[in-house]
Amino acid sequence: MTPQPVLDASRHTLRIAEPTLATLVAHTADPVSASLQGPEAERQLTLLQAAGVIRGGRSHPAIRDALAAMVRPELCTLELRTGERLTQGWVGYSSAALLRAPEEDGVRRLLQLHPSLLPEALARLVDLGPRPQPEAGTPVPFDEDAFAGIRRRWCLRVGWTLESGERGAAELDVLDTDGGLWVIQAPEGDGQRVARPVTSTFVWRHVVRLLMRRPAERA
Amino acid sequence: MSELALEPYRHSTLPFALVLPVGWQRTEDVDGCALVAVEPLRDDPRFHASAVVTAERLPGGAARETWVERSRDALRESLNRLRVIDLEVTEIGGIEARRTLAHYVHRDFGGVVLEQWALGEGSLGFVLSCSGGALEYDDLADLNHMLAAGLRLGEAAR
Repeated sequence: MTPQPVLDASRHTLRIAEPTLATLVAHTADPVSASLQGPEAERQLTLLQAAGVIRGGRSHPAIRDALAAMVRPELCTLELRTGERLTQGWVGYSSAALLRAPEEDGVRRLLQLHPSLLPEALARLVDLGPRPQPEAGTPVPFDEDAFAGIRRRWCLRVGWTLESGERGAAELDVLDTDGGLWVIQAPEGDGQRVARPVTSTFVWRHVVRLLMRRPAERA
Repeated sequence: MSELALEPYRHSTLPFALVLPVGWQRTEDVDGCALVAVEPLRDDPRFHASAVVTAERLPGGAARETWVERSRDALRESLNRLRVIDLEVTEIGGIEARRTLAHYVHRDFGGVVLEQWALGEGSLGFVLSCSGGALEYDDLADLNHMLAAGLRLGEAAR
């Protein structure tokens, strides 16, 4: 049985099961979509209306702009992978949506936020903060087992489509250890991936770069 | 932003000098700040980049580190949802400086990045604070660091 969505309008968040979210996004894109016909869609719509997420044929204003960003992500889309957990994002010019990885019961949390708050929201998810400053050094061949004090490994991948239709994507792959941060990079040609020591400032700047649709520079 | 032309600036009474982007509006000695420099205001609803210098007499007997820590604590108290991203001990003009990179939430403009350098000369402590919209940090980072690198205190500012 699909759990009922829970809207927290003051925090612009919505706890919602994936099938219900799919119906909500389809409804946002086109309220008379053929995909909203049939008993299952009607059941999901009933759940959304009962929870106050849809009223009078429109989504609640607390999450309306997030849904608009999901339907039309003017700036970019993103995936933040930490281990097995995947957070997704859709970014428009005036609003963004973050969809957190499923919780234990499989339900996800959708958050509406201003695009300028995205870097900090992502930083919070990966606990980006001060780390020991790296000594300037050459990259080392990457072997995760060779690193001590691993806090987490995370990868931010951002994709975009320009007005011209041209598509782009870039990613930032980070190993966070007690001894500092490392960016994992693929070699220019063939060969093994390398890890370069970087600062938290470097990582922050490149999170911003990706959100602004600029490929990350090599460390 | 980082390709802006820079020009030298020296405070009219306090012993500090730095470089600032040409065209930035400058005001001395306002709201407890020795200098407030702001990029030209345009008719758009975004946070305007700025560079602010504060100067204060260092508490007698207090270590510089203690003063820096107090300054950082003051940030936490005055800025909404402050998150410190990075801390670094560096050097500006031969003087040890403490750099702080942080983010806070401005109620009108959303995410703002604050990059700050704190350093002392004699009995005076100076803080250079560079602020800009969070999504503009990639455009502003190099400029912030150029302004910091150009900061000179005491005799070196003459």
